[in-house]
Amino acid sequence: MKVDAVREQRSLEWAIEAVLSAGVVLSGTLLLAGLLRGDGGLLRAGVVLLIATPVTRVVVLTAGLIYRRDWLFALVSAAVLTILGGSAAVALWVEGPRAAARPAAGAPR
Amino acid sequence: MSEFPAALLVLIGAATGLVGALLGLGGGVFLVPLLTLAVGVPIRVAIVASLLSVIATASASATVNLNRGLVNVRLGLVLEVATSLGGLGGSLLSSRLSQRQLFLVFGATLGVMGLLTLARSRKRNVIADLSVDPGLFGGRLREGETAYVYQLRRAPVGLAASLVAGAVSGVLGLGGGIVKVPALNTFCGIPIRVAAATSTFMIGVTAAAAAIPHVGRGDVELPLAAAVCLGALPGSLLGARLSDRVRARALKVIMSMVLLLVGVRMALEGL
Repeated sequence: MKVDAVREQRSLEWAIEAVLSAGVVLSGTLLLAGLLRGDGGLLRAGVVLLIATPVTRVVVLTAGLIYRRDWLFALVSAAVLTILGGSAAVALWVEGPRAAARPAAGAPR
Repeated sequence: MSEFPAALLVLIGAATGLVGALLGLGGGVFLVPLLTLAVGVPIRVAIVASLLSVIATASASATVNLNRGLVNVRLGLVLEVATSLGGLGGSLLSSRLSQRQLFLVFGATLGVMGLLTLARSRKRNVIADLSVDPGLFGGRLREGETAYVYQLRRAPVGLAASLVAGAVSGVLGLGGGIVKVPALNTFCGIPIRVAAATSTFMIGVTAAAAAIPHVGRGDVELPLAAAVCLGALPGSLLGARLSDRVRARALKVIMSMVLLLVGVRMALEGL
């Protein structure tokens, strides 16, 4: 690899690293505050942010690859993003309604 | 969560995060058995808490691994398509299995992976000749004073293992590293450290794809999951930093022993 290519590769890795670090610190703070104060809202926000961290990582990587015109890998990354979208759709329209029709979590079945 | 002491859960999260990151895993493979067998958490609740903890562990240790240049981003990106697809599918399957079936599948998966890891623990994958072209999905690796080249071999096996790893993640609440790392290492020519680092890079996304349907189902116990994740964050940062001091062969032997032991114990629970 040429020096420029290596530098470009490193800069994208640096961006991903920054996203992951920010997500870890922010969600950790929310979870800690939520536990200490017994605040369900903060806990929920912490969990949502935690799940959003890898999702944001995929968004940033996809954007970075598009910016670099690395079309093949941008397409691969976009496919991952689509699957994550599918996961959210399943949660909303399949598992949510299914859960509503059965006893609470943890109940033996 | 009142029946489960928060301090104990934070400690369990920290221990599994540390050992998980040390071995290049998410730690779910230890967390689910600990939560179910030692604390008495219902397995479905343990699976979701574990997935969230795996996201925390993988995100934290990926920052360390990226910084070290150990992650093969291209390879991770391609395999991630398979792991996240498997994660989504596995998550759907998980809710349709009984608790006993979950324990049995858990035990069997661990047993098989433990035997495979043990059987191939002596193999080396690296090429000392630096003029060899690593190819699109290979790379270079520096270990102390020596540099190595590695190439991706048997790509379809890597993809299939990733799909299985994703499914295991969704069904059992693991990151799936326990399936991917040995497979990438023994069949695909990826050095164990790169395999582990690239696996943690993928695991966050895999666990997210698997966790979202579980959370949508309402199986998440917020305070329990929060306590475990809070322990996992510092534990995994420490584990990832220590991971370069462990020898590759020792890493494989420890992993296989743990897998066999935990596998048998979990399977017994399902019988």
